Amino acid sequence: MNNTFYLNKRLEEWQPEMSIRNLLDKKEYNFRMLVIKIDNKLIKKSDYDTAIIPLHADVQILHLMSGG
Amino acid sequence: MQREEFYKDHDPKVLKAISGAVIGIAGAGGLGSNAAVALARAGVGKLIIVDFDRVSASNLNRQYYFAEQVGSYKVEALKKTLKRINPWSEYEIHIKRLDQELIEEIFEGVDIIIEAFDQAEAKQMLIETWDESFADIPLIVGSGIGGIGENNKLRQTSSGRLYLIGDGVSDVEQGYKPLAPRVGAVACMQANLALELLITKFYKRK
Repeated sequence: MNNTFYLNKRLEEWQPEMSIRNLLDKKEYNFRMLVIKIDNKLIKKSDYDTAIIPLHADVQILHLMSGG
Repeated sequence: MQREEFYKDHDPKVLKAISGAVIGIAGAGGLGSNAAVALARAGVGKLIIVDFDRVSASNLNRQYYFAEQVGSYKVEALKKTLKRINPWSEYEIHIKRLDQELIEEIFEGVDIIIEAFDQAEAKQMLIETWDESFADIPLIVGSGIGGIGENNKLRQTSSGRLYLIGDGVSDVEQGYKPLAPRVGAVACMQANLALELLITKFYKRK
């Protein structure tokens, strides 16, 4: 339980220096557009490579679908 | 028709809370046009609607336009329709393609923003701009409106003041075709949430 963080309210194993991009690759998320928040702070798409997930973080990932 | 007749069946407490409100609507397609009509009928004080596009024949399967409006700018056609429904609300329209700068300029001071773009990239741009400039007001995004049926999959999720409405799955660019019933349902859910948030805010202040 120590080396964990929350992804959409489920516990995930945390790894040092894990970026949002690493997480998306690991989880095989293939939606083109996402809303991603770390501890309620929105992460811009341009920052996915550099945004590092802190230990015990609360990460939210929501899919964004086209159509309007 | 007199104003009093139009508002005869409105709840006075609701009307009081929304008649001074301003809602920004980004996009006047399937989501934006249907949400605008619902909000005009409800009696929201002012709608600011932005879209650069013109009405095409293929829009008529889901967007609140009429055959004789094909070729017209959407926001101009929509304003005429809204005035025919409720001439006592105010409708500010902009024939523009929204970018970050314009979003900040046009939507400054609104109480709520309804996202009604077609492209997911545009939705993401609006969300990122809202986060920088408007994060203290609610943003209601449509996400997942394609297909038919499956009413029970339409839902509302939220994170702070960001709300997503739709099934979260049916991507129009991935082959899910949008049709009036489901698009209209999501648009009305966006409008319904907007009213709820306005009323909650109004009576919390008192």
